[in-house]
Amino acid sequence: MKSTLLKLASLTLLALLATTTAFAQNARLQIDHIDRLFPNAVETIDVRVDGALLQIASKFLDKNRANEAQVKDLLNVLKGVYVKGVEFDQANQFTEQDVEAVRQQLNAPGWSKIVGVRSKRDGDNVEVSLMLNNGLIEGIGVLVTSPKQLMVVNVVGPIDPEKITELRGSFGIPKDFDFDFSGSSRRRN
Amino acid sequence: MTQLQKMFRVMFVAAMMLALLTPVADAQTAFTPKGKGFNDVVKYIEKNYSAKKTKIPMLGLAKFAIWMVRPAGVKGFKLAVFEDQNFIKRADTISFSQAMRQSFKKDWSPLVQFSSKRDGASHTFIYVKQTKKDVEFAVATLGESEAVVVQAKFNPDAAAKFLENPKIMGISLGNSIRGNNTIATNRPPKPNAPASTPAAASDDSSKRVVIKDGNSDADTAPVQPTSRAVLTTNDENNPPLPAAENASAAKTTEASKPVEVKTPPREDTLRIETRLVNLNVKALDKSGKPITNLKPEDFAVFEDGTKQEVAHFKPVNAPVNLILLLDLSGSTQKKRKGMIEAANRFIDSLPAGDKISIVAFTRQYKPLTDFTADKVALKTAVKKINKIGGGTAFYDSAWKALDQLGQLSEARKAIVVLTDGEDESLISDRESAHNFDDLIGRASEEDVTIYPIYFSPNSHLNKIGILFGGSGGGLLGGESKSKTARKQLEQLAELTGGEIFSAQREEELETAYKLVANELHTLYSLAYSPDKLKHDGQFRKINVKLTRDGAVAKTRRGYFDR
Repeated sequence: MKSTLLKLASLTLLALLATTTAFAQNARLQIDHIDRLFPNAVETIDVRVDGALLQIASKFLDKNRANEAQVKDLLNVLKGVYVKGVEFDQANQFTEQDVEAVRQQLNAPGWSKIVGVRSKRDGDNVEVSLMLNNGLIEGIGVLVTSPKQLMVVNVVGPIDPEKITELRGSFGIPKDFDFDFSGSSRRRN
Repeated sequence: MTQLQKMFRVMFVAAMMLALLTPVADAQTAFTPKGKGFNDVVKYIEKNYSAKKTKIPMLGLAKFAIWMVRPAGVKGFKLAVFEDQNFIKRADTISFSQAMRQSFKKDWSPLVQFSSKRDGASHTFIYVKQTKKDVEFAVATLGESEAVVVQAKFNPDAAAKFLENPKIMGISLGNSIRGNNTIATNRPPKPNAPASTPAAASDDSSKRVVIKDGNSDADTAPVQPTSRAVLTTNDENNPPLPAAENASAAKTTEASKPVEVKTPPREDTLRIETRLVNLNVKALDKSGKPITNLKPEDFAVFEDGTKQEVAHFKPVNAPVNLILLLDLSGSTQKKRKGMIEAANRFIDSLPAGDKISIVAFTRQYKPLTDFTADKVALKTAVKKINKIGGGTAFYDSAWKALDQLGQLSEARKAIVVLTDGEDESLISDRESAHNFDDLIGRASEEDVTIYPIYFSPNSHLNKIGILFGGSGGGLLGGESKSKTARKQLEQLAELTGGEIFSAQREEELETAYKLVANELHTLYSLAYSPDKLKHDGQFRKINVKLTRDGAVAKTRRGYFDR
């Protein structure tokens, strides 16, 4: 009996661990297919900063300074930041499949779309999604498309919304920005 | 000659030719990198573009010093610079991107790879390699005519320690030089600096007429070197002050304020004081389109809620006096041809009566012409921008442009400024005489409408700024400075009743200028004399209403009654 419970507990623990790992892994978007668009693009950007580098970057931040300490904490747990983007001189140089390949990942379980802006006038489209796990953000995915442009930004790693809130005023986040992770972000009135 | 001799001679000539051709062929043979990092990249550039490294004096000594002293944890570096080369033509071989990938194999990881085919192509690659305690960075950039390859090895712990306590060989270099990683806002106003520009606000945006008896002084009159009756006016019906006199009046620091002598008023003083408040007003219909056929009676001007009588009115087609202020900082160096062509077309597109002053700015304010309607002279001046380059003292230059316009007696003044708005004080420790708060305070009170053309030819680099902030900032370094600069330009336009336009490329400049030219002649000019003058330094809020249904008016927000 005891042995069965132990086995069950172990299995449950394993399952939980696997879930957490799976979440962390899923937060990393597969965006290498965009590389094939590079030769024909007029501008390309490819950024890969993994966890080790982020930790090195965090060494340059001072834990004794209030605003830097928050950032340091955030960087220490981040697993990576990845950006890929292409811009063409003419429209329709990439296919809907190129976009769908990213969108499908952002529509997968665990991801929640928090911002979606679509302009019919100029065809611009911005989608911001979060990978949420027990109230913690495990990843951020941003997909930006326009007839001539495709860009994906992917931040991977546990991000505490409280910490992001405390980052207001740093990293380009306006001081009056109000984070609401129940589904929207807005400026304070 | 025997047959053998002939054969030998032919063979000798052939061998000589082959020997002579071999080095040429070898030089033209494309070089393929073999994963040797820095050396491979340099070799690739040398061979594939037939480029020569720029000799850097004392580089060897610097390397030795770095190796010995290891400042900031830097253990060594390699540097190769190629200047004034042609990196557009290259041997028909692998691309620079491929060369980079093949040069940095093994333990190297790509960190940033940016390529642009625009404007003659440019590439930026950053690779990183980590060993146990050290980090090695390699940065290679290749532009139209320049290339730089740097590789440096450093110990992050030592570098972080250096930032906290900068010391080289035990000698302290001062306090911590760790960057302040806060949002890239402008620095607060200087404690002693005035919130706005007293002299400029009272003398430039408004007109005051003081008639004094020669033997008398007003109670707080500035000292005037005169012994006769003085008529001091900036009204358009009267000549302006001499330039030097007026320029000194426009100075705004506390130290340069005119000395005020307090003497009791004498009974024989005749003091008549009036003030003209000039407004550039844009009228828009319900759909946001400019209305250009309004008459004076269509406008109602309110100051602090009290209706004022409009004393002067000029329609939209009245001539404009404008300064075309051109940012000639390094970022625009390669765009000059397009800038000149677009500026010339802008000059051509303006009505004959408009007077323009062409001004270049770097760290210095350089008027290239006075206000003139002579389009040939203006275009000749525009050509001169090819030879100018330097930093970006945007705030100080905009300030001086306001000074320059302040010397004009006519109304209808505007500044068209082509810039990325990144004042040096935003992106470096360099101080400017006026900060943005000073500038916005003054600009919002004057009768000068500002039209910024946000020209950011390096905006693609800001994509890298997602991480590093392009010209400062980003995920790892605070808000992008370029964003702050753009916001500031938007504010300047908004508070002066103007509009901001954008151009990322040279070819977009013409469109931006066209829009500005159209905008300039959607402005009405109104002037009124306030019913009450208090000189209490308080802000007087101006509101312009239109009698037409749904129509709205845009103008500056008010002025300080000093």
